[in-house]
Amino acid sequence: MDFSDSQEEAVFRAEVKDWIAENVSVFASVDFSTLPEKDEVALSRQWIASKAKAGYAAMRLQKAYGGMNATAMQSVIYAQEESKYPTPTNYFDITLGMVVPTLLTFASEEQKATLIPRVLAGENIWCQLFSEPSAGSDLAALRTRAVKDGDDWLISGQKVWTTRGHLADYGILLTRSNPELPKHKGLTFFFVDMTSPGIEVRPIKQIDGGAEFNEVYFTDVRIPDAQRLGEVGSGWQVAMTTLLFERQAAGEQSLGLIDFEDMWETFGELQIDGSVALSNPAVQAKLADWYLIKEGLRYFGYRQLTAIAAGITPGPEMSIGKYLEARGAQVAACFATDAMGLYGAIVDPALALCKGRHQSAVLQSPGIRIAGGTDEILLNTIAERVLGMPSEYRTDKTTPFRDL
Amino acid sequence: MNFEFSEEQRELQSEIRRQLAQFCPLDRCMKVMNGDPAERSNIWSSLVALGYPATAIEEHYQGAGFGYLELCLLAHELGRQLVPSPMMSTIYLGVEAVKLFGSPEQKTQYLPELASGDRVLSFAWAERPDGAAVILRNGKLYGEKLPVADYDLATSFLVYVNSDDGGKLILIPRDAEGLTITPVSVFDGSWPHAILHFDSVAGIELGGGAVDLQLIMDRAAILLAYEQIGATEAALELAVSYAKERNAFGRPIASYQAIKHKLANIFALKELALSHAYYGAWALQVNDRSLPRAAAGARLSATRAFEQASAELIQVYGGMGYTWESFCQLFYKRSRMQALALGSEMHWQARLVDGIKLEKCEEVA
Repeated sequence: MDFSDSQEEAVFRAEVKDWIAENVSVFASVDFSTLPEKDEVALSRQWIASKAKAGYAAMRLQKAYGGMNATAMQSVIYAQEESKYPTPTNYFDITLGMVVPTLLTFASEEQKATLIPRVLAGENIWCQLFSEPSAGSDLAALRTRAVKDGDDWLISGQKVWTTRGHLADYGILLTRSNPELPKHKGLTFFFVDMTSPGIEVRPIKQIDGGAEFNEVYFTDVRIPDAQRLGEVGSGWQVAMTTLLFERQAAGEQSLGLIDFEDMWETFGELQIDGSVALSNPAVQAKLADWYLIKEGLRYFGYRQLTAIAAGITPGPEMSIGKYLEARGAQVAACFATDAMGLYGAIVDPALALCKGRHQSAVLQSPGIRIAGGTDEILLNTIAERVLGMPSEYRTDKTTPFRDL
Repeated sequence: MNFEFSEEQRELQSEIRRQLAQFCPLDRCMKVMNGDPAERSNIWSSLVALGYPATAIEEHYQGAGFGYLELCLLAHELGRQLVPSPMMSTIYLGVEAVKLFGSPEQKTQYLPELASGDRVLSFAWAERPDGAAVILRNGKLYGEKLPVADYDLATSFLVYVNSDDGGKLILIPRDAEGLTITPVSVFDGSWPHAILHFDSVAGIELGGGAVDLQLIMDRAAILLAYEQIGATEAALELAVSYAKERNAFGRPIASYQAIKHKLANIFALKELALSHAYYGAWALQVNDRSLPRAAAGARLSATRAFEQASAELIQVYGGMGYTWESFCQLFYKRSRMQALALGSEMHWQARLVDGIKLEKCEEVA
């Protein structure tokens, strides 16, 4: 066991550090907390393109696809070093983390050669079109229909909670191609050009005032069969692979709500009843709780990284990360604002302590506890797939979908 | 970075697990709980025969010459079987105190005796919460320490006392004149504790300078965290397996979300604690400057995981779990005892904050 960088890792870290220091200077004068979305998206595109030139945009990809064939550990080292500087929100996270690996597994060589370079040039953002109004946790209940029409498919239905749908050039799409089969069996997976006729994207305004996700309506949208990923009827397996890629980004994820440093900095500045907050036992207790989660999950991530380096794919135990962090962030952020007294209610980043990050986390954490698997679904996953407890009682697994 | 134990270390752990499952199943902890006085010394003799106390003592002190990583894995396995032994007092605290603060002559004398099991130390640090402290006057101890763990097997006591020259550790033989040992009931009947009364008791000072008790506690906290996590793991396994067997309303209770979520949450807490403990094991092994923070993280996280696991174990077992004959009581009582054994949650929360402050100051300097 050795927690420090190996010699090779130290050399790599030094290289990366130099490159980042030289290239992030363009953001030094940018105030990200007040930047309008379209300007931040433009900066994000520019940043991906400049990282791609050095091989850092999608490091783990092979060189032929614009990566540097890096190890999981190297990509974590890069992320650690980049996180020391303010950089634009990564509008390419879903694209690079889930879509590109899916394309690499299921798309044709020609498609990969066309589509992936456009991502790395910062030109194309992708979205994931999975959830529907009546298919959230129960994704396989989805109803968006795909009907074969010559060499094409006609798609009709509605998707929802589509993150970055309003910015996306392409989407990956899960549809029902055969309602005569049981729910998991009649699904087919495609990718779709978001400018296709018949697609309408409508923003959803969230409780924090932002509008990161959308409803996406499909009315007889034509998709060539060549844009099908995987076999007809095996959409569920393709979707599960996509979700596995999400998991493989082990150790690289933070939910982006609040960091331990945010809490530390806030309480360092704060006085409670005339004395330093950091010496208040109630503050110490909450600070310790948040430390246990954030720092514990960092170490948990390093255990996974070591496993990945030994050729082991992380399993469903990975679910503990989002479950613990999202709930913990909600508690920590509420406490932080509480300790500020009524001043803690101010959300204006120019006035609020820590640039309003605690206030944002109070408003964003309820969404994060739902997105990408609710607390309850994650606990079911751990109970069933890690602890071997019985599956939920289901009446709909073998019945043809149209009879449900 | 390689954040995992080696294959050899894992093999050693499996070997220890096999040994302990064979000679120290939970029934033996129950026997101690039921007041069988011979059982503690029988168990300790077996641990000594297997060479466990010698694990992390260097070879030139007649130890086994393994490191702290191996000792952590041993502690994990001792925790799984709730082995009622004086390992915490004599090894996690005693040996570490001698290593940190003993003079070269004292190390040469005590460490081989500790490795061979000939010397068993009990570590007396706690006092009444009303401020009545043990004092050192003209080289003699006066006052009371309580409760003191593992007094039953101790050949000598290491007594912490605050003096005008700072903290001191005084080594007192069991038969010292003026020392009265009175057993005292604590939560966990499988872990004997006593009151030590000192009336002008002379002893040998460990080392010469001031002793920082917290440095010893930091090291012991990481080792004890492994016992707590081992016990958490065992409690979770018992709960899952019972929930699968027990039927209510026509199906196993393991199929209800109320039970599944409860146990999945414990799994999450256990993995979090284990992750802190990995970091602690490494920090202990290399004596990293982050050791105070690592120790507090491991202790707080492991204490919480074990506390929840042992409480929910009884809940899953229902009424049966509340009976004396059920193993559940062993976990519940041990959990509360270990939570207190090295200082409270509040103490370690403050230690964590201090540890972080210290590291940040060093970074600036």
